Amino acid sequence: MSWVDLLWPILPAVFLTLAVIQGMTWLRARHAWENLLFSLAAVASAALAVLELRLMHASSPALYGEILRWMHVAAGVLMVSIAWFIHRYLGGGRIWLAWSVTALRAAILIPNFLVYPNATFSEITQLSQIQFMGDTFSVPVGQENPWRALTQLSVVLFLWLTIDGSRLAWKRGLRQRALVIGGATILAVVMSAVSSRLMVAGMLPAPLISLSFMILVLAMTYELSGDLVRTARLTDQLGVIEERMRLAASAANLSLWDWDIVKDDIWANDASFARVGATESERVTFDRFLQTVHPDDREYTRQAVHGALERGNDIDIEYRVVDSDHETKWFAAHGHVERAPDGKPLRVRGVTVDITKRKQTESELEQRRLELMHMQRISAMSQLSSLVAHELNQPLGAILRNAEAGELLLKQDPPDLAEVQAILADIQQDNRRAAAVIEHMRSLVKRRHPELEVLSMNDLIHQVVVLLRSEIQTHHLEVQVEVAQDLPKVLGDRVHLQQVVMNLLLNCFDARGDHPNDRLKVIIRASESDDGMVELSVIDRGTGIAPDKLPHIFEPFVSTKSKGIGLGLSISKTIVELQGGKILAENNPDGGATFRFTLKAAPSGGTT
Amino acid sequence: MTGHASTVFVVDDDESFRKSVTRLLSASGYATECFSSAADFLARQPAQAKGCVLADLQMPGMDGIAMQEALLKSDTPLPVVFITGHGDIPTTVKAMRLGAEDFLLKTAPKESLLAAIDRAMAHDDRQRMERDRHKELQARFGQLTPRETEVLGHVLRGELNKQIAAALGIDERSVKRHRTSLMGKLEVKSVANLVKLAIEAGVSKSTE
Repeated sequence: MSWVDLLWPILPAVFLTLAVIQGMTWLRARHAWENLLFSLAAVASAALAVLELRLMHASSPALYGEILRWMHVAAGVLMVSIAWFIHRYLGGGRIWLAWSVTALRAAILIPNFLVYPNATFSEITQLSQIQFMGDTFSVPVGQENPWRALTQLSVVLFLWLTIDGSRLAWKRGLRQRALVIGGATILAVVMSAVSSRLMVAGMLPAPLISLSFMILVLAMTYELSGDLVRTARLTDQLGVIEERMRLAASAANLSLWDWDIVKDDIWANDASFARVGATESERVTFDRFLQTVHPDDREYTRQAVHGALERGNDIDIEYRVVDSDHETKWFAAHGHVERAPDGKPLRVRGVTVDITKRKQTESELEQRRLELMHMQRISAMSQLSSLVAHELNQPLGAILRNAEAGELLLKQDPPDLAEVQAILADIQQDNRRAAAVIEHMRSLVKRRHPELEVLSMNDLIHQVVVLLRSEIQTHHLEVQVEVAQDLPKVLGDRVHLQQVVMNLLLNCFDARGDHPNDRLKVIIRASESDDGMVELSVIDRGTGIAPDKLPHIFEPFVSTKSKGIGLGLSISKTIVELQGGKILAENNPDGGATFRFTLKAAPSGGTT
Repeated sequence: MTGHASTVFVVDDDESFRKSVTRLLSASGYATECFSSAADFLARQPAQAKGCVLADLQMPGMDGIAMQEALLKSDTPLPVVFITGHGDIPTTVKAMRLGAEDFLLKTAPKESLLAAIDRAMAHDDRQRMERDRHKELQARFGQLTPRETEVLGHVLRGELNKQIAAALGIDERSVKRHRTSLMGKLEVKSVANLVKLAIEAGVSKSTE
């Protein structure tokens, strides 16, 4: 029993074991091509070891040549697999080198099988016996094949590939990997080249390729198992991170979800399962999810999600869910759509947040704002109560007088029926006038949400001027209305905008300062602003705004008036901004102040 | 006493109300004349107008109060009845201080309106009569000579002829003659009536 007979059978066993381990890894993770390549290299090495052993015991030159021929196949597989392994594992490099090695090794097989006996020898004349590792082995004596140059060229290219790959890996900071794999490869290649040379020279019974490559395979195993360790460590870390995420998500009331669009299956962490009311084992499809959404939001949610999938933006929706306690909750979901290279949506990953509290706050704020606006309207109304009575008592008084006159006329003999008819017509007209006043007042007092409609600036201004007619007279105001020709209509809430114009006009009443009996001129001007908005200015020739108040004039409870509560302008600002406009105040260079606000022009349609 | 009938001058900018109130007043037997503004009324009112003014308090341009102030500057101011859609206390007080005859809501019942107009017209008649009587008395006192006026002053203070003669430095007979003459001119028979007339004409003080 020699060392060779002891050692060489162990080699294939070791190679095959490693090949099986890495092959199994590849089977479970098909993208891990390094493991498959390693496995192939190990199998080839195992084959080489078996063939080498048989070679060393070959009984005839013909058998020796035949075994050597098959060794070329195994060595080719080995070199090609390692070439690609290095190319992938050391991170790229020149791919044509890998292809060249592959092509050369394939090319070598042609003379190997066509020329007798193989690509190493053109002729083996006899076998001589030598002593090697304490035993006697066959050594070939013969003529070297000129095709062997191809083998040597492939070795050179392979070395180049290895050095190139190692250099790249080194540069990229994978220094250990570059040293271990690169160094072991070069060592293995040099050793097998030397041993092949020695075999051809008749000094070795076989090229000791398997032994040389054992070093490389062990180095590769070392590196790959290092990867396994790293993977295991990453898995641990991933577990920790996941736990942290879960904690963070539950603390922030976030739920994470992942919607596989192709399978239509939504995964989500526990919290959100509880929310959608599905058990964890149940498969949640998009339709099943929609079932949990508030019926009023269902169609909107469906359209928003489909729209995002089609257009390629992220999903961003807010919707309501009625939970198992019949409480309505608000959720905001944000999801990122992942797509196939052809643009087809594959999956959506995202988070959902419970925004019920925020929505409640928002709605309370909205409520407060409406109440404030309502309150201010009431306060404006009380300022106007005399005017209301006046406006209403005009037609009512006329109706009464007409009715009384009619009564008297009917008592006459003969009664003047033509006059009575005229009286009745007048009564009807005054009745309508009174009804219009009441309707108008009511709409001003009503607490309401804004309703956008297309409005003519001209109408808007005149309605307010008519409404304030009596106040304007009492305060000795001279109001001049200037509306630009072809002014576009605006989009806004009629009552709210009337309130703004009314507030700005009421403001002028107090702008006269110490000259309560002079006539104060006020210009209400509507024109188109530079940025395409419609602008309304109220310009007075009064005392102007105190410079220290000017910057704060739109803040609540900052009043320009001695009697004001300071809400009119701040509410006007709210209203204007709510409808997409801006409001500002400034003192005129020639005295008085100008308040102006802008409104969006109605998208299409006529002019004012 | 111009011979014209009493007229209600309606001043209101609200055409509808003006028309209706004119109808009612005509049907109730009043003569009416309409004006759509205070300025128009002041410019066009007849010189010897009789009756009263029915004016809206709030009007564009000159309002009711300003119109009343302008009216008071004339010799023969017409009483004013104010009507308003809505009356506030300061305006009401101001109007009444300026001598407004009455102050009514536009929706006040017919009876109140007509009663106020009647009162205003009666007031106008009374004022007119007083003014005429005053003028007549002024004319009578105007006939007195300066010496007679002097004597009148002393008589009104209740002095005896002797005292008057001493004060004026003339003899008692001259005093008697002046007294007879002035009583004849003033058409009074007794000193008591003379005193009454002098108070009525407001001359008692001026002669002191």
